[in-house]
Amino acid sequence: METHSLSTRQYGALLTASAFGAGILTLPRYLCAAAGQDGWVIVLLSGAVMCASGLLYLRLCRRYPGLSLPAIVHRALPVPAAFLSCLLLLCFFLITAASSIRVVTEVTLLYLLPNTPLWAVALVYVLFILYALQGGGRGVGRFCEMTGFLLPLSFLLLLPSLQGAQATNLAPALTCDPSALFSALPMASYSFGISLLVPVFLPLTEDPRAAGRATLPRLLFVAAAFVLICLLAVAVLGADTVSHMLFPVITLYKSVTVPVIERLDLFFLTLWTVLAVRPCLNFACAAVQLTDGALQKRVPHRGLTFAVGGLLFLLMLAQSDIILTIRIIHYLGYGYFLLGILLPILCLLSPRGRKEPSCD
Amino acid sequence: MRLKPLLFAAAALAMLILGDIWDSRDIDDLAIYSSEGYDLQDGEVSLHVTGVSSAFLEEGKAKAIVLASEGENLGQSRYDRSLTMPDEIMYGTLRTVLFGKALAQSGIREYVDINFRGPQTRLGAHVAVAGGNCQEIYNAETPTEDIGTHLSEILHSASESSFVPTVTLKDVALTLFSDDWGDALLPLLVPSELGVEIGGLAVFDGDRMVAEVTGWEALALVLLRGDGARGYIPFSANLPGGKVDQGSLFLTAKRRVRARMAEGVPQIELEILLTGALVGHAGEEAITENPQNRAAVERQLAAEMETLCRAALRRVQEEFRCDPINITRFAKPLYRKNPPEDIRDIIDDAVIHVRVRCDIRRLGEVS
Repeated sequence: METHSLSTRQYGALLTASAFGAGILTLPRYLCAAAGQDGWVIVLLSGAVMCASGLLYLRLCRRYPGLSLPAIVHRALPVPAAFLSCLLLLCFFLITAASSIRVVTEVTLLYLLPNTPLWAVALVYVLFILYALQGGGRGVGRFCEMTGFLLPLSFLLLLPSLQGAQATNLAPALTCDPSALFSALPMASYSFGISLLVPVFLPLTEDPRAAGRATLPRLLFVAAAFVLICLLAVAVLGADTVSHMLFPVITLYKSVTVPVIERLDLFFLTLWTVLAVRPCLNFACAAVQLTDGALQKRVPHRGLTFAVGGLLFLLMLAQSDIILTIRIIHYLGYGYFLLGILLPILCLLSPRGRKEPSCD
Repeated sequence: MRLKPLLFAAAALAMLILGDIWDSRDIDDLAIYSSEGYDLQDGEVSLHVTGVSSAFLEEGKAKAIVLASEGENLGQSRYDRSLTMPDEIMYGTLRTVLFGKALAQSGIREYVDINFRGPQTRLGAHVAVAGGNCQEIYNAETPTEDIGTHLSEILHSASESSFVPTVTLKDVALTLFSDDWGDALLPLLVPSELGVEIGGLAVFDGDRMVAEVTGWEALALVLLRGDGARGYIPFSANLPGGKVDQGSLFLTAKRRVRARMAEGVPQIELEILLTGALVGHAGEEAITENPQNRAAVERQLAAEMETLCRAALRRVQEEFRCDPINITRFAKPLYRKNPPEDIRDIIDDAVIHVRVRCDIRRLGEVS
């Protein structure tokens, strides 16, 4: 496994990039279907869960400085539990990456290349991911850093839709049934799966202390941006309409009637396609790093990346339709609670872990 | 062997080739339409389309052609059209969508759906109702440009100077998909000597047209709806001293809504503010002579508009029984518990007060 290869800036860019992908394009739909105009409350709740998860993993990384996630888990938990945890983490990263590729492919097919077969579009994305993975964590971090300006640019393009916003669409506020809020929590939590990347990429940074300090602001930024996007979608389109649209954020952009900007729809879609590939790449990279750490470099890096790329392609093709992908995403949300909250708590509370000297 | 350059080359090649194999299109194979109209004739949907395409160039100038197809339903009429003109339709260039009056009265949901569902369609395309049928509109002779461009320009500019709302496909879809947006109020197009003109407004209840309003009543409805409409309003006012001044004002309407619940009944207060400038006058004494004259004109115009708005409001509540003035969404927050199934239903029982104020801010360069 490579060490000390990511700058703090690259690490921060990588975390942010992993959140803004295909998930946010469709997330407001499920939130509004579950909780109407109060959907943003679910994002707020799951954002808090993500920050808690991030803080738990930060604590874990400080207790075991310089160790990879598999090494930490093996030190803290008994061997069978550690093996199972690593396997579950690997599955989570692979399925998340494959599902993300599937959704990005669907967006590309729907809006940009309607007649191209699904496998052809997905193959292009997988080839790109394979290419980027050759550079390891540093290569992926650099790509995220270089494309970081695309995110504010795409947000700027969304802002003109504000002219159609109606404050009454957000009212009456806080009238939703709490059970509805919790039913949609897994779906929202899936979108916040980036806290699982903290223990994977933090040990790769040149200055883990500085990177650790940069983690929470990044997570808070992501949570705030998600809440704002959900509020914007409901204020502009109304909760009923948002719950009917497949990709409400794209509809939001299409509803812009400002001259010139309204003609940039293809530009916006291409821009978001590039943005949406980044989470696929980052989670694939996390899978490679995790396996690399678990196997302690016994398998060549190149072989690993090809294995991960092939698996991603197969997992993506195995999802027969987008409805299945959405169902998988829902279950991944539950998986996130298990791996994002329960696992670090178990590792921190484990008597085996407590015997280790603390490096705080 | 260095794998990275090879992978880069493969990825670049894949992007170039895969994108071109299945989705390359020659522009000659595309039907680039600027307007699409739907008519219902003798129980059959008749789909009339006007398009501007490079295939129809005549002496270097794009010429509009009108294509018509018929069928028992939308699907069949599309099939019929595909036999006449099999070119792939580019909905991204669609600028106007028209509904024939008979079809609008029977319901427009499926026709809005087909446009809203398509990922290529511009949601900013303008929507209107044809007073008779769309074919009459499309066959109208226009003096300068083709009918597709003419329609787009009329509907686009309407709200800028004639107190007619500019309604887009997104606006109509929102009124159909949710109860957050009131009901649609669409421009009504009729053929005229100069091609096509806006003859009034079509009032919708859900997806069905229920009434047609013209003249001052249409103006009152637009003021009540308050979509930032603007335009010319003539005035004739009695000034202090028994003199009369007549003229024209260019005014912008803004609306403020307050809603509260009193004894289980929503009370809605509408305040309409008309601000603008004097364009011209032809009276015995100019309203510019002294401030009292200006105040008198403002007061009398506000009173006239208030009377018009109250009459229109009565018709909305007693006859149309829908929400073309888009106010029920303000009542929605009042129902924190047990909201009505469709918030627009409260329009019958709500107590609505309307107040109009007029503020002539500029009097021009001549005093």
